[in-house]
Amino acid sequence: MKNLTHSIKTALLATGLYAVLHTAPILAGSLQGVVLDNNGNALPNVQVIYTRDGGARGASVVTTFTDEAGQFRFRDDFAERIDDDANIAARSLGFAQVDRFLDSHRRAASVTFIMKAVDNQIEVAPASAWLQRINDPKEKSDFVMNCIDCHQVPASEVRDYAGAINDIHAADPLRARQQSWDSIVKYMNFLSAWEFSRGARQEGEAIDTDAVYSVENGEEVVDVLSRYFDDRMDFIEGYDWGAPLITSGNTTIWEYEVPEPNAIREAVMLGDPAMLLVADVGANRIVGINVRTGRQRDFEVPTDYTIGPHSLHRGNNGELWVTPLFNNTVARLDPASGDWDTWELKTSQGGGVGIHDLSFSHEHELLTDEQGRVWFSDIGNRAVGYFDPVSGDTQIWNTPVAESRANDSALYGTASVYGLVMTSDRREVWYSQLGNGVFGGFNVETEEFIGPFVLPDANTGPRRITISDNDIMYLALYGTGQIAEFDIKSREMVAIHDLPDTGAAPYAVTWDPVREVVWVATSNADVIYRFDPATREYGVIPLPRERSFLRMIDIDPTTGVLVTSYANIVENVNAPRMALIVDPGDNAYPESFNPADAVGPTSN
Amino acid sequence: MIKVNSILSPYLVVLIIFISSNTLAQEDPQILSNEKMCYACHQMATASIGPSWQAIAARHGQRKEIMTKVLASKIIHGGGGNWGNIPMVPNQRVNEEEARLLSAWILKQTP
Repeated sequence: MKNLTHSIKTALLATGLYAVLHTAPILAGSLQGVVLDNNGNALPNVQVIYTRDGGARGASVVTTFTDEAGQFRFRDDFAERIDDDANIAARSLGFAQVDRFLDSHRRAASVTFIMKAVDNQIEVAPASAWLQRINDPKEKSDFVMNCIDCHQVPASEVRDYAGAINDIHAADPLRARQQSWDSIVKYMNFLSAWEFSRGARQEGEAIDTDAVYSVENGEEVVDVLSRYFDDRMDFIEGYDWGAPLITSGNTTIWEYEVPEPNAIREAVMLGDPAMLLVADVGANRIVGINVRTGRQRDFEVPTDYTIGPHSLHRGNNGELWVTPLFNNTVARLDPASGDWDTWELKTSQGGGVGIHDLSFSHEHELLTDEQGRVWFSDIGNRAVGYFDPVSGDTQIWNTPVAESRANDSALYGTASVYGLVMTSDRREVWYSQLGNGVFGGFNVETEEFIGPFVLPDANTGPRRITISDNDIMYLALYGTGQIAEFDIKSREMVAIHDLPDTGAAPYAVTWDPVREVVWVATSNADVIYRFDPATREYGVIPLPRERSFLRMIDIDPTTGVLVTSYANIVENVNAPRMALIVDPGDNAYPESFNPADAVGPTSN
Repeated sequence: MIKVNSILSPYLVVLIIFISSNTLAQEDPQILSNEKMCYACHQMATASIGPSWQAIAARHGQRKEIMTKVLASKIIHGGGGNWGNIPMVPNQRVNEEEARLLSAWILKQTP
């Protein structure tokens, strides 16, 4: 009994100590320093990347940039002591870190980096840099549309594989390359079929490698790989970002890792305290990440079947709207309470729908029509439609055939209706068609289509679209590495703008109503582009790692930070799976962002 | 009688499921080979993208001890040159222990 009492006392003491430690003020430390070249000259726009130990409070990785004097200072006060073991590195295109001197005190650390210029840019140059080998724009857009749906090409493992082919020293090197790349295409088909049949595949059912997203014209892909990726691919030089860097000493990127296994897609930030909400298409859940603490919790979609959360939309009342990969269900989450509403949609004829996007406003929020109906793009039926959240009524309209693309049945088989926006008067929705380079509008009152409008190349690959407060629509042209600027009011194309790197594979564009610019999320270039329609100039924010396979960008309406994610597909790809917050550091919004006190849009 | 706190019980269930599924894969390399999607390139008896497991066992089964290590390394790091022109893709999602288990199992698959 005495021992038991002693044990209880010990336990109470330990519990009390634990409580004291966890309620005591957290020791905070600053991190700053300078980046110089090996002649002592200041290096501006260099990324300084602090990869924190697992379990650190807040973001997994924080990156800031040097200013014109080569100096940097992290905005965060880090709870942990930063010493010589800390994983802090400097990164810049065309430079390699050669030395690091860390001066650590209890509450502050100062780091001096020395970098040297290098010819081989392989450590930083993105996958898109290697696509500059493909001179024929048609070949390039075909290749992008075939391969970069799911992951970067050529990411480092692809380049490693090119090296492995060379190491074979085959008697007929061309044939060996063709055989090897052919095996990779088959392997990729298998993996994508595995990934995208998860919602419907039965236990033990064979994989159908002709399933959705498989490379259909594999021979062409093998041919391109064999002709252009015909060396060790271990040296690249002469690449530049193609536009000025727009980073400063105030630019910061916070990356939050989502533990594997996962198949994360998009992210938005909501709630008080701010929470990153990340769609996991592989686990039927939304992952909630507390921006301040980094703690994660799951919001399971309350369905007894897999919907595969895919596209995310902020509501105008702090709620999150979720559309599925696998079936007919739209879900709505109140992040504060964790409560869900779900709608399983059926058309009036009893058919299913394949929802991709709900209608975005110029503020990048879900916007309904005046009757409160929610409009959606239907990737499965090549249609646009609505559902009424009150009555559940659903109706779809098939998009019209674009005559100039009508003769190619292959194009129409993949002419998926993808992105969707709504005009400011709430009378029209506008859509993009990924597979055939077409877009158009639909008047929700007269129920008549506007257009279709045909982009110059069937492989332009328009994906996510956005709309300005003046009803200018921008389309991310994934295949050709461009953005299209279309005036909805006049029904006229303003211009099609090449991106600074046309191998960038832009997945999404988002209108920024305060900065009055378009943010461009790339899948293959490890950057975010800023496009200013007034000057028609681009700016570049480089991301701190390769395989930054971006999805949609959302913009926090209070602070103007960009919220996005690395969503490498398939689950088997060894690549980052993170949600991230990017502060361009331009102080364009009335409030500044700091993860320590961040608040996102909240429900009333 | 042992009572489990109702707050903890869901975690225990998850833990038990995790441990049991993990143990299941560790005890049965065939399940592990499914989980790691080895069959994207390999089958038991017929060549597909890569050689069949039976062919690998037939070639290397006499040197099980050393080849278990060699094949485990190849699963993780990839390789090429033994079965024609096509290099093997590294499977970065297989750890060393799993790779040893898989390679030992492959070497037992004699026809």
